[in-house]
Amino acid sequence: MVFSSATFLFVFLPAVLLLYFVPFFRKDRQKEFTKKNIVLCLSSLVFYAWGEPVYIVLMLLSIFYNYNAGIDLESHEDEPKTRRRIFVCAIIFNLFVLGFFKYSGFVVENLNSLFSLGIKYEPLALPIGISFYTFQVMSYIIDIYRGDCKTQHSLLNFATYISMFPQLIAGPIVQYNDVEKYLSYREHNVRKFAAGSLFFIRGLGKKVIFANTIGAVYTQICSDGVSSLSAVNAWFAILCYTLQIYFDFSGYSDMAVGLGKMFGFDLVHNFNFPYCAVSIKDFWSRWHISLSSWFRDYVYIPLGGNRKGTARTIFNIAVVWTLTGLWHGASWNFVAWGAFYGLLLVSEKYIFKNLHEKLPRFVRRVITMLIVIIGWVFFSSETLSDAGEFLRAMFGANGFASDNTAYLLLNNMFPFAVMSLSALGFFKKLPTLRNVPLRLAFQAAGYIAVFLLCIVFIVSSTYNPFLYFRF
Amino acid sequence: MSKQRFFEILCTVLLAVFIVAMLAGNIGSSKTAEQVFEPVIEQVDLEVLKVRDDKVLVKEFSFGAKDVENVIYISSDSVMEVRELLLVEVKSTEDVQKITELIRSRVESKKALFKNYAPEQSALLENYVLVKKGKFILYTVYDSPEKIVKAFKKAL
Repeated sequence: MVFSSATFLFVFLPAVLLLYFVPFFRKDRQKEFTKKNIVLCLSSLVFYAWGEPVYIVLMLLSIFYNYNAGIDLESHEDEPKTRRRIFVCAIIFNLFVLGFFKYSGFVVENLNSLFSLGIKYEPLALPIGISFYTFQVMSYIIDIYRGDCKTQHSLLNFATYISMFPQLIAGPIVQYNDVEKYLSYREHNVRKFAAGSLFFIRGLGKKVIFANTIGAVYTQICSDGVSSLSAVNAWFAILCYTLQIYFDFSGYSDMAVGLGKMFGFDLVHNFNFPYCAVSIKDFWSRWHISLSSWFRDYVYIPLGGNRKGTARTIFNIAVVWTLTGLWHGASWNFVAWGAFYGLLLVSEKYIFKNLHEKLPRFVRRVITMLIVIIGWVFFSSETLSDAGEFLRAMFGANGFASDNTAYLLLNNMFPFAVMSLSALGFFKKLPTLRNVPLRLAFQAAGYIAVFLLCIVFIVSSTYNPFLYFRF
Repeated sequence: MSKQRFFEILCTVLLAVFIVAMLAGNIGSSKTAEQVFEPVIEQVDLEVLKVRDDKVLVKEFSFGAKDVENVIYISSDSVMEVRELLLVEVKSTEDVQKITELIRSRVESKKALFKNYAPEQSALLENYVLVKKGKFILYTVYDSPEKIVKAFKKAL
């Protein structure tokens, strides 16, 4: 089930909110809170099972294993060797689950082509959100092993943390430390609920009105195949994709944060106007923040970060970015995409640091944006050779423009311009009305209009899943 | 052995069983698309319904011929006719979930469209059939879908 579907908006969400907020135990606050967690946990399992019920088994196994491993770690506090063994087993279990379901096909395919083995293997369908919930559960195990958080003794609370539907299938990746306090107590009030609703509507608008519209333009341009794309069309296509992926993913994240607030959680924000970044490092502190933080906290810093000399820092960056690429998908183009960013970050840190700092801010933004756009070519392509072909098209391999170029540009210029300005935070900088009641009235009217428009789009369009679902 | 250790081992064993079961269920048919599709198509009334082109498929289901290995979509021009048949052979079993989700979503929007004012069509849509086996997917809305499903399973 996706957030931007009529089933979710008009059946699932209202039903869950009703069950969640209608008090069952008026006099016993603790029982009422437990009921809220039960509703949230069970509805999350239904939400997950909606698309592919069979993989609910996998998630339940992951929940049970890690819940027990957490208690096991705690009960062997004074036995470092046993603790280490439990920890290693838990990490292997989680990495195996992720590796088998996500990467086995990729590994077999490469073994076959490298050694001409001819292994017959039909990879299984990828369980939705496996990369997200496996990383969440690993953050819990690692934090317990390091002594950074307390063991969760309530299976219900732990299952709620792992399965919570607002962020279950496309993040943000919530580290256990960030939500631990909300699992045993969280405040619900009208102000928080309203703030959550606004976040949700904003995210819905980003996805349904912006991402789907500009995504259709990208699909239309690429429909005849990359081999016939002219340079202008290719640049326009990848610019559209650049906007689509931002609005798609940040829209989903806004909806997740909004739903989180409605249920009393303050989830981490995943985006902060990434296309305004002045460097690649800055970009990654604004894009998919929860993933960057996860790799920083659980891979980069434990490997030594930048504290062990230049060579080791470069190695650590290489490891983190190869893994970041692979996390996004089992394909060489994702590895290349990760390596591309690793290389750029190393260059930015050690080679171009002085030059980069001397450049005007605007120039730095343009350079960063160009690099990010080229990066999306690897990301949007199915294979590495497709990415190469797209890059060749961008640099004129199939001619400068084609017959439909002017039509394409003129027809889509307005939505493209509005979305670009929005992605760059232009509308955020506009002066606001000083009269507070009037401003609130305008804001309310605006949000209602966006919501109604989303409904029109949802009813009249076909299925448009989120791009990040495949991770 | 502690209770926790027992559950950890149990989960590991169950994971292994789950994977074996999934792999066993994933073994598909060795038949070609033509061998599978033909006997199924024979079950539908091609005088009322007709084979549709790729544009209609994309419009209706948000995926096209280039996204899958083989596909055939049979439906009617009439907006009030909900009977249809879709047969798909995906490129890889990894795509099965994506395609079935597209189909399910399409059914939901169609159900919403006919709900409350076309009870006959609604009833047919409620009884839609979606079957997957290996790389093959069958989706149909028909008066007697059992016959179609039987032909599909027999053809695999």
